[in-house]
Amino acid sequence: MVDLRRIIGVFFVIVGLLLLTVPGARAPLTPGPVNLYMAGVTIVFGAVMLALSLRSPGGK
Amino acid sequence: MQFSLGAIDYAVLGVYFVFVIAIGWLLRRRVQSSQDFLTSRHSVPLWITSLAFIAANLGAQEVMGMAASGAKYGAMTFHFYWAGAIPAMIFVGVFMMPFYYGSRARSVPEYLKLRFDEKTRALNAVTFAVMTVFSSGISMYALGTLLELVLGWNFSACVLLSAGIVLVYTLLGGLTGAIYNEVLQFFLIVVGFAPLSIMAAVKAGGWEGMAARLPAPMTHSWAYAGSAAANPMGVEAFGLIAGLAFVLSFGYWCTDFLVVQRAMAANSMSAARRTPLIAAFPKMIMPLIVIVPGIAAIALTNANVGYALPTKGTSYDYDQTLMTLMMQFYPSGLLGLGLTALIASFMSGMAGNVTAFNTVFTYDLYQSYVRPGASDEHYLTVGRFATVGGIAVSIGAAYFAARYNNMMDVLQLVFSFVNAPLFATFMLGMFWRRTTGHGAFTGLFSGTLAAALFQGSTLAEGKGAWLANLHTFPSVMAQNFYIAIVAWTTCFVVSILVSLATRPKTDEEMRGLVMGLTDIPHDAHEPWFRRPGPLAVVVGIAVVILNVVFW
Repeated sequence: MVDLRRIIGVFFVIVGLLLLTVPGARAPLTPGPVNLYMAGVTIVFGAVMLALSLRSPGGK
Repeated sequence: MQFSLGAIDYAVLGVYFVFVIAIGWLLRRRVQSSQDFLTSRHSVPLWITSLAFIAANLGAQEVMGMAASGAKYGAMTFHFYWAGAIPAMIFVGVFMMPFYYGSRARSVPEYLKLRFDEKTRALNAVTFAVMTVFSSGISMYALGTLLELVLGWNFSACVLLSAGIVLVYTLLGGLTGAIYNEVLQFFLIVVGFAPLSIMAAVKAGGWEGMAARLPAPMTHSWAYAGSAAANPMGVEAFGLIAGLAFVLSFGYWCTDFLVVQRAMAANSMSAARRTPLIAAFPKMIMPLIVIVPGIAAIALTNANVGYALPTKGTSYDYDQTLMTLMMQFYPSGLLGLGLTALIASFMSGMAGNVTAFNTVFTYDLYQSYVRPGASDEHYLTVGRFATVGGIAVSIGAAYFAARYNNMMDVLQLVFSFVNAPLFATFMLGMFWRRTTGHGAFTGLFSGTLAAALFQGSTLAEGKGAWLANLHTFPSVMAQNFYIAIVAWTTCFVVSILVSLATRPKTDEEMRGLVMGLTDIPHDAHEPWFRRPGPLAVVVGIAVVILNVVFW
């Protein structure tokens, strides 16, 4: 059985790591290092999905 | 207006493409029969069906259209969610899903066959099949046009690449593949657009700042609905409630197989009933992500802080709201995430249409009229060919829409003619045993005809009145709401009259299909959050609170 949480978790961790490669990029109205903030958000979200996946029966 | 994408943006997009295909690849072993491929064999967990239920509706036209409507109509656009979706989602979960799921029908047209007769199923199956492939084509056309405009990519390359990727993961994983991808796409849409909403709203001074910079009707959802002249939408409360919140909303959420199919894929009757109710929670929050940026765009334009919504003629070019905001707020990296979210929403809408089409084509048209009684392996093959065929026709429809610009308007109008009366047919069919097949068929046909005649005899923003001009509406939206009301009422009345003059099915034939003859599982021993009734009450209270807060 495919655990979708694991796939989503890995996807968002990778996206977060990609955003970390350009932490200081700015657009005209960007208020701060938004790539850095969003990298944090996506990595945490991905990690939560992975943790949920591993905690479920058969996840380990 | 053109974006300049960096390597990191392409990398995010590339990772997304790899993952959506990987999901289809991982699920390919589950597809052993036509039921696996076309219906997921009632095996998908509740949290997945719930998110897929709203993601299938969250196409890019919805995302971009809602931002544009937020800029044009302000907070009244919230009605498309809090009045025009949530009550209908409660209704389908609590009252209608027992009949859909309990009948074991594989599609909405098949339910119509079981409840009424073959001709009613055929009418619904044919119109639905045509509507879905054209919807998918319009979605593709919009994607190709957008990417050509903002990225300078070739229209054909965009259309063929997006169609190709959807084809691969749908062919591999079937309905389950599409549903699993819709969940990934849902999270991507939220993560991709929520930062835009937050940054634009903060820059505009928060809700108070926006209210200070905009005319009062732009930040109130109900306060100015007393008169059509008092609000930017040009619709009064009756049109909103009867047209949008009742007919159009219930017509879509309760009868459109595209969304109902997601709930029917759930692994139990209880899960199928709770699917729309669980989905209602994220659905309630979506306006804050897709509509608030539009309202903020106008506030920012008025505030003169470095952002201005482009104009087209004497008015704003509302369709550019989302893209211009992304251009101003998203740096490279986040821009890739935002564009990937946009492409994900296109794919989600396209895959939703294609998976609904292949099921209806295979079971309701091919199996019923072309080759009944063939082996399941044969229907699995036909389902796969229908997927390829559906996408091929969609590509054709995309080029057709590109060639004839007004095709989109015409098709959208035809869709509304067909969808509005359908809810009357279902309401009567599920809750009034006396409704007959002849009544349902005649009612549907009459309702569609009445919608066309009403549109032909009224005018709004230069549209309609191809027969005569008996009334002028202040906006096309107001006209659409009243077309829906007329179509529904006509279908309802004609269905009752014809049913009373014809013979109904016996109770035995209607067992499991109508109220009073269907066993509803007893769930009093379950905790409240596993029971549709209490969940519906919580959803109802939450949506009332939101309406009051943004009154």
